[in-house]
Amino acid sequence: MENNNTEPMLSRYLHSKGCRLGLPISGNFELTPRCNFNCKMCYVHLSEEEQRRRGKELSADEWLAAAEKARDAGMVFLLLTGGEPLVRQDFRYLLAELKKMGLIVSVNSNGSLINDDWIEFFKSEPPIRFNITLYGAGNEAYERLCGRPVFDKVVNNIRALKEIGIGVKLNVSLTRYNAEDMAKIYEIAEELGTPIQLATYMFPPTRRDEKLIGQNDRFSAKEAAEYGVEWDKLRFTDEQFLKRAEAMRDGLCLPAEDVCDGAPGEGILCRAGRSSFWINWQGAMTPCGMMTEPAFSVPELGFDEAWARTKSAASAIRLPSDCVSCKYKNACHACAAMCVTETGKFDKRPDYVCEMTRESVRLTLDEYEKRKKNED
Amino acid sequence: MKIKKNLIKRNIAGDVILVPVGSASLDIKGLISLNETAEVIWDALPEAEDKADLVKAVTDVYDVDAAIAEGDVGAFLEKLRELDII
Repeated sequence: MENNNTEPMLSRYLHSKGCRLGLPISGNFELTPRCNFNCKMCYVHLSEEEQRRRGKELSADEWLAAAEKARDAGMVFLLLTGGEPLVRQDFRYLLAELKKMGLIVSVNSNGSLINDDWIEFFKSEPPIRFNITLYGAGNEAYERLCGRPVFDKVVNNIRALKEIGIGVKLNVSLTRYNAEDMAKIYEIAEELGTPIQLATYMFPPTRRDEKLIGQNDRFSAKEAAEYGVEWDKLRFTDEQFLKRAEAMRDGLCLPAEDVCDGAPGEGILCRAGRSSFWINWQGAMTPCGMMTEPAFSVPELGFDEAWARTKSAASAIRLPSDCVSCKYKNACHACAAMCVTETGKFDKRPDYVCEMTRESVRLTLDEYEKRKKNED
Repeated sequence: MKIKKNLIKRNIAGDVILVPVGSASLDIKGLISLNETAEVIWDALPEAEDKADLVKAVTDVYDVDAAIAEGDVGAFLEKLRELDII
């Protein structure tokens, strides 16, 4: 099974060129905060009432105008996300028009709203890929985590998409509500033949409520590490696992990593605000979707000015100085968004992430010793 | 020559790519990158009657022997046939 979600070389090349020249190679359009699920750890979803109180979603014309400008500035890859993007009545129109612009469009979805009618539509207007979040290995976990027991429907829809030739990648957010399903989730992905990415770390949902800095309905740092290492044991061959463990032991960069290209250091090292951007449902551009600041309004400033200001503000962000000399820095996934959602500041050390990393390394090295002893 | 797939040519800061549009992305998963010669051939394709027209398009732009240009055109057309683009 394809586990490591390896990015095509051409995409990597274009992004590295984008970072160098300041081109917005990839964009994320958060079309709506509305969703037919109500997941406990979600950082975007708002009730209809709260959404109305906060303001209007951008219209299709506003999204298309932003996309045209972004395309002219270099955008090649576009992710449509939400909320659940398929709840928008104009989703089909948007997808078709965005593809006509010469964009490679993928879609984040919970996969539950797709039916025969949608499948017919996707035959003529396929996104390059669906990223479908799998919330468990059965209806019980779906009910506990999302309030909707629709596991069978989602799996059938994944099969239907694959049958018409659309690529599907599974994303899994592991929490205490679906942790017991982890091994089964892996089996399902194997059976479906889809790449899968599982996260045991949940960002504090400060976008939903700014008071929630450092908080979420999530694992303790130690539990997140334990489940993360259990997942590594499932997904890696013995050889891969040992190589990663040795890299951790020696403080080297980890092989077969699937994080978003970032690491702690002096400035932002991932693509956020360098070759990629996020526009939320109200039109505010941020470097990435987890951040509330820096934010610049695309409807008010226009795409070009919002992108120029985002780049400038992102380049001024400084990450914690503690991280630079930390012996765990190459095993750590801490990024600007983690720092600010965990501590309220970009340059403050996210202790939850530090603890999770230390524990992950300890557990991985314990397992390494065990396997090496068995070899002898 | 008839191009069977709907592909849009884009130039990203000097890099030329072809992006599949409509249902073409079911068959072509991702992007196709063109070098300078491939771009000349691609641009000449819709008007070209045969391979000789494409070779001429290349030799009109580059100071290169027709035999070498023919090899490049042949290799590119072969790739396009593999992807069922022509």
